[in-house]
Amino acid sequence: MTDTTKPVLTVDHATVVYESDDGLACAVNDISFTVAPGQILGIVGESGCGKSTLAYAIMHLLPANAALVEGKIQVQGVNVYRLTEDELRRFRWQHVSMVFQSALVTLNPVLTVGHQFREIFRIHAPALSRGAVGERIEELLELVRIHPQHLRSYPHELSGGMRQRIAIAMAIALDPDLVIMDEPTTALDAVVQREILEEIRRIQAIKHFAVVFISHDLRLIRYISSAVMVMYAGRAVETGSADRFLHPAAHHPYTRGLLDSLPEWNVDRFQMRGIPGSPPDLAHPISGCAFRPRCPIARSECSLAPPTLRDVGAGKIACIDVQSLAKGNEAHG
Amino acid sequence: MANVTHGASAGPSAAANPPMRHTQLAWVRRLGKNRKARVGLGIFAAFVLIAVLAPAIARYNPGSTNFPPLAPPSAQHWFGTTGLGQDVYAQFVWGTRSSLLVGFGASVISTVLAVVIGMYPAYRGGWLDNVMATFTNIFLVIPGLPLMIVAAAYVHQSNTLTLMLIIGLTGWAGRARVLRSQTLTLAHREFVWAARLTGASDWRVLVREILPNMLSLFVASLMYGILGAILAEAGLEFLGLGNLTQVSWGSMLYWASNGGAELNGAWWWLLPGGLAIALFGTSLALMNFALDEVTNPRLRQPASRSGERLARAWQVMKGDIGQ
Amino acid sequence: MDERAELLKTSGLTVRFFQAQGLRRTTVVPVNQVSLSIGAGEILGLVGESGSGKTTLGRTLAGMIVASQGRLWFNGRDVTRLGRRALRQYWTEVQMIFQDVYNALNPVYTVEQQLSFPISRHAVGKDPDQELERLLHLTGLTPSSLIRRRLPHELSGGQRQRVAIVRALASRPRLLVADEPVSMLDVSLRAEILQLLADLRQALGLSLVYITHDLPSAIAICDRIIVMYGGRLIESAPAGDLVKTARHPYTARLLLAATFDAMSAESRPKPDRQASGSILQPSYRGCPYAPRCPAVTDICVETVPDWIHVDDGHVVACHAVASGRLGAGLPAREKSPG
Repeated sequence: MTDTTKPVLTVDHATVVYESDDGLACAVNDISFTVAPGQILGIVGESGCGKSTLAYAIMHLLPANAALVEGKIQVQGVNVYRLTEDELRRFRWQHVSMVFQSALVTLNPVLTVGHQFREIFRIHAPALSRGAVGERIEELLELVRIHPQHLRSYPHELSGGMRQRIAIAMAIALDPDLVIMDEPTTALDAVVQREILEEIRRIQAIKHFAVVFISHDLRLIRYISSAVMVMYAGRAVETGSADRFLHPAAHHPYTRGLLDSLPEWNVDRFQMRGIPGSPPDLAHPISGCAFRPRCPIARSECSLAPPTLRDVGAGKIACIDVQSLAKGNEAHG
Repeated sequence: MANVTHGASAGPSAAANPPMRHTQLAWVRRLGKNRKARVGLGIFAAFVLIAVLAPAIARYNPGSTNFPPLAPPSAQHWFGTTGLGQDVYAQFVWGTRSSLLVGFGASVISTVLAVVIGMYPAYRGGWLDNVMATFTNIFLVIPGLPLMIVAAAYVHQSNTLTLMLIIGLTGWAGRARVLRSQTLTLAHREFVWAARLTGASDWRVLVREILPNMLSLFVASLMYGILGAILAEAGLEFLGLGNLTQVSWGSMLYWASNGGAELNGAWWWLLPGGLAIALFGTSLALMNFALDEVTNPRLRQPASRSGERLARAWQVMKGDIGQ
Repeated sequence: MDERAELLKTSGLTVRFFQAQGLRRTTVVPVNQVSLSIGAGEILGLVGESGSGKTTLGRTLAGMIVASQGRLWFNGRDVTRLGRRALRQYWTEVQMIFQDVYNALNPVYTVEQQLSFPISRHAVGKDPDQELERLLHLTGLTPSSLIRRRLPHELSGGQRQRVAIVRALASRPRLLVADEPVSMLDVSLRAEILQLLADLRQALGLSLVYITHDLPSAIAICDRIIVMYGGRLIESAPAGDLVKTARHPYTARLLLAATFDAMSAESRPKPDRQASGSILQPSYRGCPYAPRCPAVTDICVETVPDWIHVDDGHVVACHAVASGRLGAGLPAREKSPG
């Protein structure tokens, strides 16, 4: 998507800090990116890398012990941290909405699905007539391939996949410009996961909303996204087009590790390998590059300062060794 | 056989993480910082101290009638004297001892019952749980005080032990239900199953695995048990159904109201018993509120400050790690 | 596949659960007529989606659930119904690894406290401390002096699962039932845990049942894979064969989901319009996959298909395969992805 219009989402040097029993932890560290209208940006990283915190920061839904301490987040040119509670509540469904890992976060267990759909329209589009609302809901259900009979169901009567479809339908009910999806398929089985991903792609192609898709699984990310950002210990360590992650390209050593840990087809077996070591501890940051304890090409200079993103071909990589990474890849390719 | 290959270097490098120290139960530490908890615990400790030291600090025999009746508080008689010429201070001190004894004793009995009838069957499940849950529910709908009155009247000559038993045996049902429901949510957690699979006995699983994870609820339940028992004891004594020869907060109130303390304006005779009950109840309530605050995340005052203060803390930290 | 001594065997194993629905009591059969065997030192994959009964079957094998019908033998001994004492004995030989790494360890105890009881209980004639040290090293929990003092919430998901594995190994079991041991972990941490389990088989000679919904990971570490759907086993094959010649439409579907190839319209299963519980009800008589199967015919909803031998060690229960309508050319794996 090379849309020259204004970006839907602008994240500008955002830094989010939260306070735990362990002390202060920086979950999002100086992150900047934009999402163009209709673009799908995938954010990938291990648990604890700050990707979910970033999602909540965009929604202005950070818990009480966390705050955006630096930088700016704008949705459709509106700084979401300048809105009042009331404005924010309206803004959230109409311009930006969210799909969570568990649909039960959005769905109220004691109300029927239909009731909850009507509630959204009652609050956010009170001018719509009853009939128009009913039509609109049926349209949405058709979009996510749920039979209208399930409007009378309670969330617990539906399968995990159906609940997630309904959560998606609710997220796009008011035609938002941006939908944040935080691990929307992680809790689902392989087959259902695959179906939901296809639904998202299909619906997105019809409705053209922008998506920030968050997952720890690079397979899903590169399947669904047009652009990808890799996060490690609160920082962006690599950004670029999704193609870079499907075809041979220069990568950050961490991205390389993520790619290698995907089960890979090899003659008659799937091969798997992992990234050795443990994910970083945000409450006790180390100097320099956060990945260096697990990095196969780490050297003493890596402990000096955290590397910044630098251009490599069609992407950007934050690694002190960015030149040799690029060269190494040329040699391979 | 399996085609799994290692990454560049094997084994997790846990050394990368700096060591972290924690108290095992974070809420105990937070409790120590809570003001309500401190005040409550202070009052509570004072009462326990009075009860333990009673023989040393009572100054007089509480039963002795050798003093001028209805004397107001003075240097000789700090809390004055009763209509029969007993020292009210001595009665208060000894009364604290016997009231707390009955309170703690009855609470231990009802706690044991609540664990045996509420927790254990919930963990075991099956018919035992069904039977015990039904039994508990039946017991719950029987009004407590009338049941105690009937039981106390039936015993005739009640002493400290029978009083404990009557209160303990009638006061377990509500707590059994609370403990049961919490046990049910824990009983099928993976770590409980894992403990069973390592061959741990039922009681070991219950006491070592389940109980520590509901300790705050258990402590709260114990405190409610003590408070309930002391109120019940006072109620029974006040109605004359206890052992009136034994001095306690309840019997002090009974004798004061029956001896015409109000008519004679002998407020010093009436007040200590009632105030002691109120103050002791307050201390338990304060501790309970505090416990609720530190264990219930929704009531916990946000650990953090406003966004601005977090931002300032972040600036300081950034300077520290030299970014 | 080499012939191994048989360690565990089931015959017609069936588990029924009763659910109260309002005033009515309904019965579901999450495990239905399951007959399988596990060889000594074998890694068996049990693959299926949620609701397939794989977890219930795993727990039944581990003695946590008593079968309603059928038989379970361990090492030639009938262990279908064990008393409390016999069960405790059984659990020294069979252990379980759980999916939920966040609930697998008691949150109030340090690693050492968690492990001291199981280790000292089983380390007869040995120094428990040395035994703990040995197991921590065996599972890659180093430096052990640091790990020992950690509380569960101070450990990463992978480390927690390793501690759970140590706990399971304390009794020196001969069979480990691992129920989705890595599905809650990051993709990047999964391989190392699976590698550890595979290594333990070599080092300790134990058998492993690996329960998962992720077919590729099962293919990576298992000797043999059994696919389960709606409480029944539907296909069983050596792991390598399954990839090349998966015969059951559901297995093919699982493979497709894993490889992110474009799905052809005919292999796309029908959306599940029926209440998903109906195939688990005792009154349902057909093939469990029939309501969603793209190759469904009348016979599929009427009778349960019999096992058909398709290759050495490869059996499948499918009417369409039996009648020759589904041959080898299923869209299981025609092209290799990039």
